[in-house]
Amino acid sequence: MTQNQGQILVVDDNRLNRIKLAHGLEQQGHIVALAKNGQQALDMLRQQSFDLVLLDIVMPEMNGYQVLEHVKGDEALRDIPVIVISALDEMESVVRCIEMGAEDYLAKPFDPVLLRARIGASLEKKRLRDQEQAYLEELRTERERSERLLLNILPKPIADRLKQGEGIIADSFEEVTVLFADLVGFTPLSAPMSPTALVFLLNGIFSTFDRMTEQYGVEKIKTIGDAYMVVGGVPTPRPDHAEAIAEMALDMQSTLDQFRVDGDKPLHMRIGIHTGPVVAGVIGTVKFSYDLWGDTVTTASRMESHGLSDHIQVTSATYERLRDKYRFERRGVIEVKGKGKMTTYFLVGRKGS
Amino acid sequence: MAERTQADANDKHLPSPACPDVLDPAALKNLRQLAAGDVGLLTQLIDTFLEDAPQLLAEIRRAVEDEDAPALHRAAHTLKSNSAEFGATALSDLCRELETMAQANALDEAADRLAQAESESEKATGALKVMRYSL
Repeated sequence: MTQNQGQILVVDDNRLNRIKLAHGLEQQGHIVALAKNGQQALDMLRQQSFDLVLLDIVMPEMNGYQVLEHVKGDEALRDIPVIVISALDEMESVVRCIEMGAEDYLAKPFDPVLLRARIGASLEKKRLRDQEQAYLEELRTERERSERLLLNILPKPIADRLKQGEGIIADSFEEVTVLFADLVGFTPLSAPMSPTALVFLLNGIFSTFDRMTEQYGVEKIKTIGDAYMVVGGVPTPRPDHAEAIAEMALDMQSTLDQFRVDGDKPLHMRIGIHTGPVVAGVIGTVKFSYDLWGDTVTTASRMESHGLSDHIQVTSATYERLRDKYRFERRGVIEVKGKGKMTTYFLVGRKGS
Repeated sequence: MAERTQADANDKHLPSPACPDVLDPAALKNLRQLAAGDVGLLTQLIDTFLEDAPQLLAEIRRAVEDEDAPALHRAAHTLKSNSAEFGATALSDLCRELETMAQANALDEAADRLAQAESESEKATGALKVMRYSL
């Protein structure tokens, strides 16, 4: 079918008009269906697809206005163009139909040249509208896909700001809680495994942690090899950032027991936590990610690296915020690289549990 | 433009209106152009008119007698349109008057117009029958 030929529904109670229109339209290469009344027209419109409707106004039972009202009120039908057929002395009715959404009109008796021109123009407009709809749909799908990808690497408020044109994002946070977790001796343990099996295991563990971040409302920053970094109170500040991270740490620790290396060997983890100010944001232009900067990050990392296997080591800053609700064991004063002497604690559980 | 030329050529094969007083040549020319030399279609259109016109007149008569304005409106509307197709202008005009009366629900003069319409219809169908048999 060429682009200017279409499937046309002729709705007219007058047999003479139907015969004439059907003939004229078929001569012009269109495929024509005929309806004797409004109800039949609506039934046909709902059963098969049409490119154009030629609609008579004066009909018994359901007249042209009612058909038009149904068509324009129906999500699935409203885009089908309707050309109203009318006698020359019915201009008022034509105006009413056009106000109701009809595309054009044809005066009776029909002028074959005008018939061809109006139908050709309507079908062309319909074709362009259909094409535009298809493009818009494609565009929407593409946008959704890129949106999903962006939200995988950036928190939503940050993604929104970047989209609005902010080049560099660097926000200061007065107080957040940062957690580092490291799988102890993971490399030697996993030596007998194939690289693929290793990544598969790591993916299982970290995906479990990822789901926890959603549960506790904390932000995963990144994984570094077999280490996992997460923060509470960023990018949306919350007063209970330390509690959220403590809950996450305890859950991570107990969940690790579900995983085994090489069939039966259990895994061990060191967790370190510190509370303090950070700068959070996005810098660079390619392969950018949301990251944290500041001494708080270094200290949290040291708590992990200077910690003990299967223990959650926290600084006194974190301990002070959590001591009322959680149980701790005082580790004592340790020498921390680049920091000097620090008093640290081990988080062992919730109070009353 | 080829179409026009063809339609003009068709005029040679199709008879002129038998009764120019009754049927407007301009409307007939339009019909011939649409039919584009298809005698079968012209015959079918005339037959449809000849079949439907008496039924529509009977419907108009019934509606006038019953003072059924909506029925009168529809039947007069259809006959107005059909007679205009064949250039039966006088009949078409009378039907338009009946249609307007029905719309205004003022049927006082309807019976009078109906009688005129019946007489005009006789003339128009007569002219179309002559035309049909000379196709």
